[in-house]
Amino acid sequence: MTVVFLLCLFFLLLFLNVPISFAIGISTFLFMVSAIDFLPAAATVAQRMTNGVNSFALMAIPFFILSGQIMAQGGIAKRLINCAMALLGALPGGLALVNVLSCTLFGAISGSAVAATSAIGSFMVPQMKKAGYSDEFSASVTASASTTGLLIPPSNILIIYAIASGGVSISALFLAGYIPGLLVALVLMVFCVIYAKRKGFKASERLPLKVVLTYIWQAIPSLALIFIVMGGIISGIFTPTEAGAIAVIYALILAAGVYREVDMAKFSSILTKTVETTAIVLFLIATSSALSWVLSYENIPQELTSALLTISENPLIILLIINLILLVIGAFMDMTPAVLIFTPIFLPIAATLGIDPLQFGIMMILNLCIGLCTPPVGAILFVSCAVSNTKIEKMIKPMLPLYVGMIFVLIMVSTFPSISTYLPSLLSK
Amino acid sequence: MKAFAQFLNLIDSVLNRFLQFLLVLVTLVVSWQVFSRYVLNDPSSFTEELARFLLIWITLLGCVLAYRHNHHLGLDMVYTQTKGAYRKAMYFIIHGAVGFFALCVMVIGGFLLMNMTEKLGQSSPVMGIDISAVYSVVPLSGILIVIYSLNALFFPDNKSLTELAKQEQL
Repeated sequence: MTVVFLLCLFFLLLFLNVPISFAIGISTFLFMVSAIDFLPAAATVAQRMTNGVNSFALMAIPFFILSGQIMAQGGIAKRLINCAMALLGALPGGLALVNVLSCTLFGAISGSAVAATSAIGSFMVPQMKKAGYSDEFSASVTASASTTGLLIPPSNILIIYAIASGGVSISALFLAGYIPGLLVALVLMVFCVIYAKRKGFKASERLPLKVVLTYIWQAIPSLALIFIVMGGIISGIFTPTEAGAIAVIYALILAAGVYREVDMAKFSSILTKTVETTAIVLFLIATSSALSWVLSYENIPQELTSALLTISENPLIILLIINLILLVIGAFMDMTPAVLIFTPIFLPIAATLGIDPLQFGIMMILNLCIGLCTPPVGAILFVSCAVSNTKIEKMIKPMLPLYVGMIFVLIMVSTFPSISTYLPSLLSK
Repeated sequence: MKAFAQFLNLIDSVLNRFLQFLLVLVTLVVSWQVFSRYVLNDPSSFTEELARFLLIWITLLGCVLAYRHNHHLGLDMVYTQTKGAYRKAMYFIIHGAVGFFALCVMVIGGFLLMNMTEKLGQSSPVMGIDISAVYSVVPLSGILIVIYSLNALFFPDNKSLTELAKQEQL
């Protein structure tokens, strides 16, 4: 009965537009007050919250936010777009493909889908418009392609899942994200080629070989970041957190020292933005860890597991149900709170059925990526709308085939564990 | 009331500078950890502990700033559709709820937590810092959030400079 109270209160506060982190905190706190007394409840929640963020692994999050911000403002996006242009510009639907590849590359090195959408979209959408693509189509391609950066490491949301799951290795999870992330990018590209052929878009002119080589050469310092960060993590030279600090220093040297696009004033505003974004995410983690402590104290995950298992014991059917629930949740809730709240609830179910937590995490995040591009609540959808000067209503139609593509990859990832687990298994050998 | 608004803007800027400093510091601390291990061959032991404590401070103080600037994630579907008295009521519930949580859990709960750790005499294993000093950021940020929520409740027009700048742009 009291758990029902907790849930009702949480949803009430949520719909009243109380910040999600506070809504979680308040309902957890009042639930505890009803179970124990006021003062012990207050102290316990305060303690659970501080313990929740007292983690060296979480430290990677501000670092990757900071390096992503520096890269977004430091002229790195431009060089990646040029590189993508050199590689794919001459294919049919070239500009759309360039957009997908740039978003993927930028998302991969910055780890932020929103940063990728605004940095790449604000440059690519006007270019595509000149070539005759509609704003809605360009905005849709940018939005869906930007989500790949959340699957391709380094990625903050993967770190958050690893923390919420309580024991999945961040390095293994990073490796698990590569194939699914690239698969989404590939599916989107195939769709763009089909679209361009049907609508009769001509390929851009082939660039002279010298220009192609220069563009690729200029992008190497930016792309090198992926090899430094991931190479360092995979080979065990440093932990993901340390890799994050190295990424910050590298990005800063590149953007401020070499490209000279970040000065003190810009750096100061980048720091403020990073602090706020970090605090928003980590405060959510803090209150969610108090909530998940209460949930497990009340045996909620176990009870839900046995309830779901009475419906079916077939892993695929259970995964299908979980996926459908997550698709609905993703449409209404941002990714970070969704991962923090639902990982401790759904992961035990998956574990009971013998599903690899790596596969489950990738599936969950890919699923919620779709939610980022769906109304009514879709951070990336809104940002891509804003940078393309179009309306959400207009984007629904061009988004539909892209949703189908993403759902196709989601089904693949849910059905075939090896798509996610193959690369990490190589590492552990 | 004008003095109060100026006082809040002062807190804003001090908080902002302090947080920027903490973020730079923590980046240097973790980089030093890598440097000391590979270049000096003498892994430092204090860095991991210090970084964790700094992260707690950044999270809680940054949370104050994010609240001040209205940047926390929320579900504003209903809020943006409402008008007049309904909207006003929701506005008061939102800031009342935030203030309530900050007062009960962060200020009262935070002070209790500090008290308990002080009585137990807990200090951190490597650097020997008082854990209650680390926890002091909980009531501190709680008090700041309570102040800002009271400001939002009683002086709804008293906005932060950042918000005013944003409104002028629109």
